[in-house]
Amino acid sequence: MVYLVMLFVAVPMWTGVIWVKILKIKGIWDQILHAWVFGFVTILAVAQLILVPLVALKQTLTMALLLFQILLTVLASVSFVLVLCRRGGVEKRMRQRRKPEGDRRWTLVFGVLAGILIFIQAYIPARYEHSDDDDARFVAEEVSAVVHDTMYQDSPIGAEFLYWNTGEVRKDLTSPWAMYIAMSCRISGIPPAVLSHSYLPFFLILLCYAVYMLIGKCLFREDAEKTALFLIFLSVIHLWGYTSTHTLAAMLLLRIWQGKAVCAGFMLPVFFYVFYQVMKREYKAGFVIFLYVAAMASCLLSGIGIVTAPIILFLYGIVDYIYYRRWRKTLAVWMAALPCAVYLLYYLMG
Amino acid sequence: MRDYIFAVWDEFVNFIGGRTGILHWVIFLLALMACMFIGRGMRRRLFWPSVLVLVFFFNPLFFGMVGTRFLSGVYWRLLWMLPVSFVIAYALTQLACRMKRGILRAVGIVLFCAGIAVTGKPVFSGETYREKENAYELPQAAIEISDVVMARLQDWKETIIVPHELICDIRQYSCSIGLLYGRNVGGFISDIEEDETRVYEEMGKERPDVALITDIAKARNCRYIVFNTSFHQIPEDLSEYGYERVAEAGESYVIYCKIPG
Repeated sequence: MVYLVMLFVAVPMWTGVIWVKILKIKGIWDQILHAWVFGFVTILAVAQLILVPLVALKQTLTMALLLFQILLTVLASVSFVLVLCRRGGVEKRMRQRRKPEGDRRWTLVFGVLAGILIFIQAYIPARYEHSDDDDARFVAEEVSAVVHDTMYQDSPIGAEFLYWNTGEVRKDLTSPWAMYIAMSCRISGIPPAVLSHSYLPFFLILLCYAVYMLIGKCLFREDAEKTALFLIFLSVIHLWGYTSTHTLAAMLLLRIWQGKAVCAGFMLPVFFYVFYQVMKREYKAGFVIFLYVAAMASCLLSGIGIVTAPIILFLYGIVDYIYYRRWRKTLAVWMAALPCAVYLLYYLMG
Repeated sequence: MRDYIFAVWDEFVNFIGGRTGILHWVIFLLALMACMFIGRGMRRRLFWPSVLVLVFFFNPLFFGMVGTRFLSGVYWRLLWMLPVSFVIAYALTQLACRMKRGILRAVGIVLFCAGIAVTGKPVFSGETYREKENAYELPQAAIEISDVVMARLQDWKETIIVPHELICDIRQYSCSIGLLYGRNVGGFISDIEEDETRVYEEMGKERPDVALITDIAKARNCRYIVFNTSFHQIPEDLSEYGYERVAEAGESYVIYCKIPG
């Protein structure tokens, strides 16, 4: 459990400190949420950067893990330096308008209710069993990688030599989420099925709600009471949103350990949040830079990440241009789709 | 073009879950309209991007060019780009916050939540979740079968045939066990061969043709066959077919192994 907290909370947060410093995020809660979410996205992007070439070169999982750990160490060192370089003295804190006593009581009530609903959503998928047939591919690939120290080199069905360019497994070369999970299994020593089904849902659902909280804070301009109420409604929509197996609610609460579900429940909302920050007259350029990292990370998750990221960049880019007429900014947003284009081309030519 | 329009509509209905999901979508569309009038900021952040995603999704030309080529069968996934739950939650929050603080607001919030619950379907139910049998969250029988086979490994892996309900589980536990057929029976992962399809069809019958299954199993070097005795009606002794009973797993699974020689 300690390893998992390190892997899915502490290391992402430490990595995300880089973004907190770049974006000059103020306020302790904002810093924590940004560090966790942006750090996790950065780690996914790093994994994508090293895994695709290593899978193509038929390298071992051990080699991938070694490179991954080296890069994470570099990022952690950069964070450390940034923290050390922090100017002395007390940082200016955002002065929030103190609400009257009665208002704060409601904020507390809504906050506690939202917390309980979110905890229930994270706990039940980890505590109870839901089986999904798609795991026959993803978890099987992870088991093979961990045991055989290979990456996508045996069939998820027959175990015979396959290599990535056969059948559906071909899609996984450009979206090696399963190998990221396999690396996490190696680090934690937990079997892939146990990690995916019993532990990942808890961490990933909390992470998704961290993004939703950021969205709420942004939409309601830091109003804590409205943000808490927003999270309550969001939780209720998700808890009763199983109208088909395809909805966001189904992806989030039934199979969040799969790359495509992480894309639907986490990555696309991250894009929404970043766009809400970018689509302003006065915006921080760091958010536009982060779009490049996010686009890279979305490729790791699933083929749908490679397709949806460019579309969403294109659409929000258009809206931003219509409102602000800054073609350089729009171009910079659209250019963030380049990593996706490269991976798509590689997939099509492979 | 007409075919594309119908195909896109089918994808949409598939995504929302037909009539089950229609009310949540009505709420979403109403909330989206509300975002249009709430203010410039929400028009920019929630309304126009959602409208553009819908225009993209329902565009038959886009479906023809991109959907049929790259997103065959999963075109509905593009609707994940639509912030459905965020738009509904935003509109409801704004509505609730316009009510006077106190009991009225609390009642309003409860009613909104009840409205969402009544018009939707719960994710957490006996249909979706059950008590876990082990930490792997896999059927215990799959683990017991795998343990039996792994304890008797003669090579780096064994190929086995299992009843339909276990084909997705075995390889999630052990990579030392290969399946003669697995999820490829549903058209996923890789192609299925003719003899594999024949075995699959027989294993789906209450009275399978044991001779056919064992003949193909022997030809494909498949040393283990697992039957579910609560479903399959087969002779207990399969030695005349070249297989012997070696172990039982779970409440009803029997593992047969090829007789050497």
